[in-house]
Amino acid sequence: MKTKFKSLLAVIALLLAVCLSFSSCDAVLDEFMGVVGDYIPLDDNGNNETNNETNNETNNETNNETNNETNNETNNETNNENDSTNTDGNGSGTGGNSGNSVVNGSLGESAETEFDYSAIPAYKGNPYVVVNNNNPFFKKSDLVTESYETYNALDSLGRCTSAVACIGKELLPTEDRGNISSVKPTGWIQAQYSCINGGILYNRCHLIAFQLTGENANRENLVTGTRYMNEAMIPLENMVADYIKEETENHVMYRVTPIFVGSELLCRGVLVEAYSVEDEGEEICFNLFLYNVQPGVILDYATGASYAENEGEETPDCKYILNTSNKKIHSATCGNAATIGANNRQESNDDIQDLLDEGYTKAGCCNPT
Amino acid sequence: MKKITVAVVLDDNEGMLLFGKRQSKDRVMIAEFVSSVGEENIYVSPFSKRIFENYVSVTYADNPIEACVDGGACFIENMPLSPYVDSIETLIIYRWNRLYHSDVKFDLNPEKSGFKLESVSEFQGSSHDRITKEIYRK
Repeated sequence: MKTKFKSLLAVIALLLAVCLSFSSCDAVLDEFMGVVGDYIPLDDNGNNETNNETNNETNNETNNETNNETNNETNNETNNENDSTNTDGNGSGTGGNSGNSVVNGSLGESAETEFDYSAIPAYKGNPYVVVNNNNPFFKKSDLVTESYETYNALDSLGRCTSAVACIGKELLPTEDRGNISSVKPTGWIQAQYSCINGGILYNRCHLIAFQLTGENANRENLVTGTRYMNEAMIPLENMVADYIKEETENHVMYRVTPIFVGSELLCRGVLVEAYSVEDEGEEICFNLFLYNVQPGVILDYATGASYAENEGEETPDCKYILNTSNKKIHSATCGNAATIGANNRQESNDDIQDLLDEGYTKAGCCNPT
Repeated sequence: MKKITVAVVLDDNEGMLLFGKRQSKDRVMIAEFVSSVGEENIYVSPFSKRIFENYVSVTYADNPIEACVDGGACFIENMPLSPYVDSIETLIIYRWNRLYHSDVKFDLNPEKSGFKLESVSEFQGSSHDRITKEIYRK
């Protein structure tokens, strides 16, 4: 009996050793091959079924700081509400299916395999956060040197899923931008707040900017985004556009994915990935999540409705923030004013004409009045 | 002490770099700089090689400000200027007149550092509609 038992144990141990050996080989092989993504089952909407199963429905409360009870500071938007991020069904979403992620021009060293919204910290004043050590999730097979643009289909809720392009000079617009006001993306409940430069809360944000591909009123390329998020997207688009105009034979892989949680109609932000192909990311290489927030305004991501934070309270201490170095006048509520270094920053309540007479000019980003 | 010219290019927020990469570049602007100071007088770091690759007389040095001889000119993209402010006789600031993100900003306030704005001019770049050139001297 004891002998049989020992034999049985030996057989089990042998089987375990063989299994471990195979899985170890797989891990080594995966590492060697740079295979960093696993197959993720997608539902009919292209959403991650595994994540959907764990969605916490109690937490679609609305604002951009819906802390769950655990109140993990770095993660207070998303704990227990694993999102149904729009990894599109066409295989061009962020990571997901097996493939080689691009890492600083090399392959297979990616820290992450796909975008994980639950790892995004709560908004803390910076309009973006770096994702995956700033390495985009493009697979080696995604990197091509022939221009194209793809705007993936809206999901069953009418939400944008993603847009991807290999941007070359051929795609740059040759005509003026057209009217896009006919498109009302999901979550489009427009509102006005005095704390916003220009007053208007929402912009129709191009996933892939007009200046990159000349795309106008395409519903698959327009999401509801705060002015604040839109202003954070433009500098990235500027970098890519400049690069294409300077390196006229080169291309930039560019993908923008709006990130929705559950069935919410207003995206929590957009993931923007870019990689200059011919120089292997030497000049353009970033992977950023841009928050769809508006300082001073609470957003209901379920619907797009909004209301003022501290309504009736808190007005800035001054009217303008001056950049004493480049002689620009920013509105006191301008997000860019917050980035002016202390040495060059000066608050002012002077009349704007007096400032103009002193040689200052209005900053184009906020056009203070 | 040697006296040199230093040029930088900044965005609307005095930004210089994002994630260790230049925010932008412009062939016409570089040509204008080369033309204005003389190619053989220019010192840049290897970081800037890509934008000066068409100019064979440019000198490369890890610290171009220290390597630059009296009367020479540096184009600086990725290092602070404040430690060298005493050596800088002429400061050229090119401005993109565009917004980019940045995590490294220009560390000098010209006027507070003893420079006086001598001239301002504008020109069209290869990828920028309007580039401003400010020349400051002590």
